[in-house]
Formats: sequence, structure tokens, C-alpha cells
Amino acid sequence: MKGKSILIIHLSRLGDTIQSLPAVKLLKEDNLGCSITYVGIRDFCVLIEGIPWIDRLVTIPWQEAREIMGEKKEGHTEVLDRFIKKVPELGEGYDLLINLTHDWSSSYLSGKIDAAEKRGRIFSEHNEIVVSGNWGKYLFAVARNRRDNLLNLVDLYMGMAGVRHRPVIDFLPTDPQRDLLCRSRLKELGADTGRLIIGFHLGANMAARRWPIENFAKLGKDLVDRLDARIVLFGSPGERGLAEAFGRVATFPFIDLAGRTTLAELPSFFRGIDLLVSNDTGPMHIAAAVGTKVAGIFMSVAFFGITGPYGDGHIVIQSAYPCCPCIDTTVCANPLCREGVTPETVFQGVRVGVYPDGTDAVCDAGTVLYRSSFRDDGTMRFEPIGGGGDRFPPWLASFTHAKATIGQTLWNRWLDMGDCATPVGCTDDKEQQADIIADFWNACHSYKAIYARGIHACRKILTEFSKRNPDGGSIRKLADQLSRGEEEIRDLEGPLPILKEIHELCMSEAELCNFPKLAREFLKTYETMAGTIRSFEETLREITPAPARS
Amino acid sequence: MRILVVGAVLGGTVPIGGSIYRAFQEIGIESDFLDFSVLEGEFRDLWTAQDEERSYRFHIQKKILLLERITSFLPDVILGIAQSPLGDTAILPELKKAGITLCYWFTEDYRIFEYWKTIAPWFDHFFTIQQEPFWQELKRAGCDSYHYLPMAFDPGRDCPGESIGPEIAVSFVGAPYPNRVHFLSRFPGKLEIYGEEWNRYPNPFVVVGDRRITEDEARRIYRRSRININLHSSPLPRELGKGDFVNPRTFELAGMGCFQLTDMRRLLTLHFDPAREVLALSGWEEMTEAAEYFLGHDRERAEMAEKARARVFREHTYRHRAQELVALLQEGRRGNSFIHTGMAGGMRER
Repeated sequence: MKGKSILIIHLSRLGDTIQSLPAVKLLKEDNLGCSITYVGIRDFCVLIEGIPWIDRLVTIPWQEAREIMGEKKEGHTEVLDRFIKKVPELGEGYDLLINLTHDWSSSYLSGKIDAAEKRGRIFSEHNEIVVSGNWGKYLFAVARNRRDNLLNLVDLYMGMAGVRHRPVIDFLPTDPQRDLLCRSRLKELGADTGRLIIGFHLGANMAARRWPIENFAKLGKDLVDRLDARIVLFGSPGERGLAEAFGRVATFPFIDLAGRTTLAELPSFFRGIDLLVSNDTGPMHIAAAVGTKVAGIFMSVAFFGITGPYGDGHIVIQSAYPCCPCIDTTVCANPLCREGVTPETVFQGVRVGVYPDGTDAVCDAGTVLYRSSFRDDGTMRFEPIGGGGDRFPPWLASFTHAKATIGQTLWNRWLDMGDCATPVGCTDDKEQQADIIADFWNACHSYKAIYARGIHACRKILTEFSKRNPDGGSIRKLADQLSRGEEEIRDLEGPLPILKEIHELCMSEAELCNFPKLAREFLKTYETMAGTIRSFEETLREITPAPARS
Repeated sequence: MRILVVGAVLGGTVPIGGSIYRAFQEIGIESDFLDFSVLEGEFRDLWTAQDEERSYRFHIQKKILLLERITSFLPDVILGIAQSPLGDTAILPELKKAGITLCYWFTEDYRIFEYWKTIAPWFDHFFTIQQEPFWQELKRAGCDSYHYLPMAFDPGRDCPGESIGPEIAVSFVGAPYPNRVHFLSRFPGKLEIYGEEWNRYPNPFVVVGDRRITEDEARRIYRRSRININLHSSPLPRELGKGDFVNPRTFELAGMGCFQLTDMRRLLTLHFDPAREVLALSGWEEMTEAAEYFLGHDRERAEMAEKARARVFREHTYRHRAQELVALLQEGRRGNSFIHTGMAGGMRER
């Protein structure tokens, strides 16, 4: 019997491409006999060529992709239409289309391609962008509320693909012959197997996200002196300058492979090392994908929640600056968070990454260390480790984590993740936890009241229209009430910013039409959203209630 | 070098003129101050009278005052402060012809106050509290010499009875911009709001909302407050943590050693550490949580405020700005630059 035909559109960069692989793998496992076509950007798909669970790989050169990617609307449809005509695979029909990309162009492409079922951000038949499916909406909503989310992008992609969450380890197959060659080359260069081999990836696509070279050098010295490690530098040819700068300050011997490996060789080299220290980059995800431990450094706009390395036992060193992660438009002129992550803290992260059974890490002020592990529900989660550190500001890291943990518990039920784990113990501060729970209750009450008024107004509008002579004045008043409710939602501040985004996405699904049909559309959305609030309240009731904040 | 500082008639930029003038004097620059704020009363009368004839006379009076002072003081440099009556494009070229270097310190948000478009091309040096994309806009408008000169603190300003009055837990002083109206009405604890026109909004926390708060009053409120909320102005009601420039209040509160809770700004880290000197956040929930936390942690509050005060005295007084400005003029530098010395970190790679 012929299996399902599935098209995945993912016009994204290297890291996101790698992070999509576990979902693709599980999709193949869960849909026996299915055929998967993956559309990606050629320069970032080099590593996924020949992957057994992708049947057809359609790639667009980066130069061409840049023309069609992004949020620019007018003038691009012709380019995109031409592109669809040029690529025969896009002219075929599919049973399922999943758009993992969140830009306008991929939404347009997804809208144009014939598929029985579509997920993700798609152009509707009315030329409106809609985000289909709860997981797609959630991913879109958390992009602007990263601190409120604990799910990794890999798990979000799995959700969008509709597969059951379960750990996927070593999801980037490599050529065993090439692995051997890379190991031999490392050995030739002096990385003998008897010693700990630690890789450094010095680069990042933005200077603000790059940990200072001097810090890498200090860390290297500590690793050599205290753990008898051998340091290997990795990087692209464009990052040679960073390697040279490292060479000028390093006071210990190291192996410099920056700019001296191809992208295709990188996974095999990473298999030959014990751990990679990296900024939040594509190579960090490559290392995680081949099962090598990672100590990822996150600062500036980088935040571990979504883009942390996927797998068990990875370490994240997250800047705890109160402004971290910065909003894209507010990336500051002098990123002090780069300085705040000290070599000693990263050393501690590497130590517990390599020797997980040892003592807990002690991190400096300004940083929080997290370790990844798989949960019973099959998702991966980063939890704070260590404890002796004098964290600063002392209340903020625990507040943010506790709020995200409680919030995630609510969202997991909405995402159909099965029974909720009770987040009690997400902070040592019981009073803080009680306050946060009370805030969630208050937020639920606010939404509930607005939705109740919306449902009431919609029903009254429909009743009015069912009369022989509908009262126009009364309908206008009720319509005003609806628009006031929408304004109230936009004005709500509180612990449910993701819900606000999801509300907008749900409302955008309502067909553009006039009353009374519009009232029916709104009623449907309000009832759905009211149901979401009820499920939040049920979950909150399961969490030990605490007295509200005075 | 002889510098004539031309101040504003009214508004928040009035004190800047006096402060930078005193700073020039402190560093030994021959300077004079044309304080147009003496005309404030007359200006307000005119505003209500809406009398064209009187308005015209007032305009002429300002011109005469300016020209009289120029001819008596004979400056090499004129420094106009934002909102000062130094925008007459008929006079400006004549002053340039006379060999006077024209400078303007535009201490406002270019997105809200757009008069820079008309005046900027006429000045030899245009000093701004914002950087890109403002600089691109200035370039397009025909201004090719612009420089970043942030606000500062004036330690020499007298404020009688600064510490008089009962303690305030959390306060806010400032005008009701849309973002402030939105967020401050959602403050969960006890808050005192002071500022002209707040009485137009139904906010139970408003203590004084029907008149302007004087500089001295503001300083007294800052001093009495355990936590000062410093929410930068924005025309967008729900915007928080997305702005760029650092307002004068940030420097004022820091210089006075008063604890402040502010919204994150793109340029803030050039001047302060947003975790150790002032607390700058990008979310309202974090702001309210921080207020609650710091109300109960006197020592931490005091330590942060003291660090901010020390930083201001090291880098951010008007004396520093005067030195930076004079250094630029002495070098005869043109083009665009960061002249602020306390921002070495910002010059590094990005």
C-alpha cells in the first residue's frame, strides 16, 4: 500500500535545519511507508544529504533563497510563483504539508502548494496568513515570549509534525569511513585518545553573541591545567580571524582546525571529541546531533529555552543579566552580558558536562547553569544545576524559571502532552511560587471575564439577526462591546503573554465576513479560548493553591 | 574659545542650559548663558491669549534678545539646547558667515519632536542622545556632522530641603505618555504618581496631576522614594524595553544616589550596568516583581544606588559633557562620532 506523501518546508539556517531532523526521523518512523520531501536551503542542507529518512531533498541556493525569504510582501509573489514552477516537486500534490519556517514567503509557498492537510504558517485561500494547529500557533507565539517557554525547538517541531514525543539521540548519521579519517587526523595533530578532547567553536553570526576570545583563551588554559585537556579549535574559513586572535592570547598548545575543515567533515570531527564549547550556533547543534556533549554559551539575544542543544546531559551557560535575552530591536550598544559569563563558570559547566557524576557546579554571579535531560513525557528540558553561586539579581533567575515552569505546565495540557507534571518545587521560595500561581489565577479570571462577555455579545447579535426586524442600534452596541473586548485583551499584562499571541492567531482564522456570520466566527473562537482558560484553571487547581498576593 | 549657551523658554530641557553653562565655566571656558526661561510666563500668556499680533512681537523680542547677546558677548561658538529659540533659518547663515561655529544639543526623541529636520542642516555640529537610525535621517536631511552626546547629571544644582517629607514606597515623576498611562495603571502595589496632566486619567495612584512638578519638587520626591520608577516615554502604549536613548532622569536619579527601576534601553549599557547600578528590565511583570523584591531589600537597594552614583561622578556629570564637547570643537572634528568618553565598550566589535 502506498504510504503518505509528506512535504516539509524549512527555509531556515543551519541550526534550525539540524534541529528539525529528530521530527523528520520520527515522522518517518510513525508513518510506515511514507515518502518525505524536504525543502531547504542548499548551503545549510549539505549535512542532511543522503539522510535515510528524507526521501527527496529539494534545495534552493542561499543566493536565491535570500531573494524569496523574509517578510517583504509586494513584488515577491512573482518570484515565488516562478520558483514553484521551476521546482517540479512543488507542483505535486501531497497528503501533508508542514511549514516549519515562520516567514511570509514560506507561508505563501505553503499556500500555493497542493496538499490535503497543511500545518504551520500558511496563506489561506482568502490570502490571509493563518497558523494552523496548536503547535504551530504555540511556536509562533513563543518566538516573542521566549522566557515563558521551556520547550526546545526540536520538541516544538515534533509537535508540529504530529509525532509522539520521545528522545531521539544521534540524529545526524555520518559516514563511518569519514569518521575514521577525522579521528586519525585529530590523532595525527596530537589529540591522543588518552586525554580529554575539548572543542571550541569561537564564532557566532553576531558579535554580541560571541563570547570574548580572551575568555575562551582563559578557559582553555584552565582546562589544560586542571583537567589535562587538549583543545581543538573549529570554525569556518570566515572565522580564521577569530582563531588567529585566539592564537595570539593562548599560552598553551592547541590544535587549530578553524577554517581547515569542510562543513561536511564537521560532524565526524565532533564525534571524535568529548565536548564542544560553543556560542549558540549551527555547529553547536551539529555536535548535539552526533551525540557529543555541548557546553553552550548563551547571552545577548541568545536564550537557551528554545535553541539550547537537544539531547541528554548538555550544559547551558545562560547569562542572567536582567535584560537577557534582549529584544531583537534593543540589542544594546555595549553587551555587558558577554563579560558577565566568566571563564570559571564555563569551566564548571564543562566539568559537569564531562563528569556528570561529580560535584555540582558553582557558577559566578551573572550566570545560571542548566543541564538537559529527557522527561517522562518524552520532551527535553533544561533544569538549573549548581547552587553555591551568588546569582544576580538573586530573585530574577528563580522568578523567571518558576514562572516559565508553571506556565509550561498549563501549556502542555493545551498542547495535548498528557498528564501534567506538578511544578511544585520549581523554586525554593514558596512565597514566590504562591505569588506566581496567584498571578496566573488572576490572569485566567481576566481572560475568562472577557470571553464570557464576548460569547454573550455574539449570542445576542445572532438572536437579534434571527428577528424579523433586527435592531441595528443594538447590534452596533454589541459590536462595539466586542471590539472593546479585543482592546482589553491587547491591554492585558500578566503571566500569559503567549495566550495573547495565540488569541490573535485564533482571531486571524476567523473568516473576513459581515454580521451575522462574523458573530458566529467570533463565537467559535471565544468558546475555544474560554475552553483553554478552563483547562488552565483545572491545571492550576491541581497545583497546590496558595493565598493570593496581598 | 567663547561659548554662548542658548537655553529653552520652557519645558523639560530648560535646566540643561544652565547646567552645561556652569560646566563650561568650571572647566575654564569663557561662556555666557542666554536663559530664555525668563520669558516663560509671557509665553504661557500668549498661548492662552492666541493673539497673533502679540505672538509676532514676542517672536521679534526673542530675536532681539539673541542678537543683542551675540553682539555683546561675541562668541566663537553658540550651543543651542533643545527647544531653544535658535531655529531661525534667516539668522543662522548670517551667524555662520560671521565665523561663529553653530552647535545644537538635541536632547529629545527625534521620532516625537521632528523640528530637527528643519534646523539640523544649518548647524556645524548636531549633538544627539540617539544614534542610528537617527543619524541616517540626519544625513538625509543634509546634516553631515552629528555626534552622540548623552544626558548628564548636574551635582551643583541646589535643591533646598531635599530630604523633607515622609518616605514614599514607590514613585513615578513624569508626563503621562501612552506607555506610562498603560503600565502604571497596572502596578499591583502602592505607587505615587506626580506629573502634569495625569489628572486626565483615572489612575488611583495620582498624587499631583494638575500642575507641573518643579525640578526641586522632583528631586525631593526622588530622595524620599525607596523605589523610583523611571519609565522612558513612548507614544506606543504597550511598548517596554524597546527604546534607545537614555533619559535625563536616569542620570539624575543615579547621580542623586536614588534607587531606580527602569525599562531597558539600547544605549543604556554605554552608561550604566543594568544589573548592578540601575535595574533595567524589558517586561512589566519583571518590573513589578523587582519593585516588590527591592522594597524588602534595603541593603541591596542602597548598594546599587551607590554604585550608580559613583559611576555618574566618574563619567556622567555635565562637566564630563562639557569637556567632551570642547575637545571635539578644539580638534575641529567633523563627521559622526561617539564623543562620550565613558563608552569604550560600545566601540568594540558588534
